[in-house]
Amino acid sequence: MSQYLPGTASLLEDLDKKLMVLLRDGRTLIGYLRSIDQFANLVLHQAIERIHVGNKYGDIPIGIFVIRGENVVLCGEIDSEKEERVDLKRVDIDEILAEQKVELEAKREKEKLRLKAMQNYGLFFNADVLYLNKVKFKQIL
Amino acid sequence: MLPLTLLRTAQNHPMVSGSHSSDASLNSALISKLVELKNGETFNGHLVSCDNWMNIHLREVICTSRDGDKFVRINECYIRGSTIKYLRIPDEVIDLVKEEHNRKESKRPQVKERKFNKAMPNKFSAPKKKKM
Amino acid sequence: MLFYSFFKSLVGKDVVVELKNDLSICGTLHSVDQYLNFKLVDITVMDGHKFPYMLSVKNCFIRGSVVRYVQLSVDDIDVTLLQDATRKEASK
Repeated sequence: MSQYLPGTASLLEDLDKKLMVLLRDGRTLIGYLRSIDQFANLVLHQAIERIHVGNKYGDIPIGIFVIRGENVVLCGEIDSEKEERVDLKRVDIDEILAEQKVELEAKREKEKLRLKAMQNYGLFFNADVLYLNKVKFKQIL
Repeated sequence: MLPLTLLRTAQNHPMVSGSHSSDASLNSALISKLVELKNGETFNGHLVSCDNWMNIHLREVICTSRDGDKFVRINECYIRGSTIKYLRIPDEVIDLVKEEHNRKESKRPQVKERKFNKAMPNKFSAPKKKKM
Repeated sequence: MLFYSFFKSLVGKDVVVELKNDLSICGTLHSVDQYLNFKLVDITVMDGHKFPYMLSVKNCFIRGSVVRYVQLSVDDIDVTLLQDATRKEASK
């Protein structure tokens, strides 16, 4: 089998198991792995997106997911024994979404401050900021 | 059944339209077809066709910005596969796949016909789009 | 292919894989493939409270492209053998 699907040989063993997939953007999806291919594109069935904020989490049902392999960080097999021992509190979707919003807002605020501080040192990360500063610079000249 | 085969099955499938937001709490059955790009933008519409590179062609699309604050309506759009993060498809497609699989199994010897169908799926099937 | 063979010789050993998102996973190397994707079993995550979604995971598949470092134990590696293999690979 590994001959036909180089690279994903070890994922084949996980077919039809319940997996947690972590994406590069930080999202976590949970579902039954139904299919994979040579690019490690995945198909998750009966999938949910699980949002964690602090020690709470919420699940959003999403049906079938086709994930492009490049965006995957890792696939974890959910261990039911370990799952029971986890002391996280499950809350409903609206609550977790609200909490997530607050967290996101805080993160953005922090990022803004960081960027500002960096700018004071003459460091620019953001291409847009760089561009704006170039424009400003030209105006000064 | 490879992920791209599943996509190919999903194409031309008359999907339920009506959900015009990427609001994740919506029942998945209402969502016609949702593509999220790596940059966070989402495209919600009918899948017309796709190819082996995951390039996809959508009709009647609602494009939602990264933060979910801007919405743009697009009649038709073509998305390069390499920019895609993931696709969400309705649950019914799995049943459709099973049906198709069974049909192909029973038709096994007629290889020629299958090839023909595969080679030109879009031109003929695109106008078939049904509204529900 | 050198590193693929190298990691293959480490199957069964305990390793720590640090990912580009700063997640460090400690576990037993179960398998590896030519993209240097890893499969670890019986994992523990450093700074576990920062990554709550990893709490219920025991075995995991890690995509090679997201790995930053793999930390290995000194005793697990035969340095001379590795050097010889490197020379052999280079002279190919």
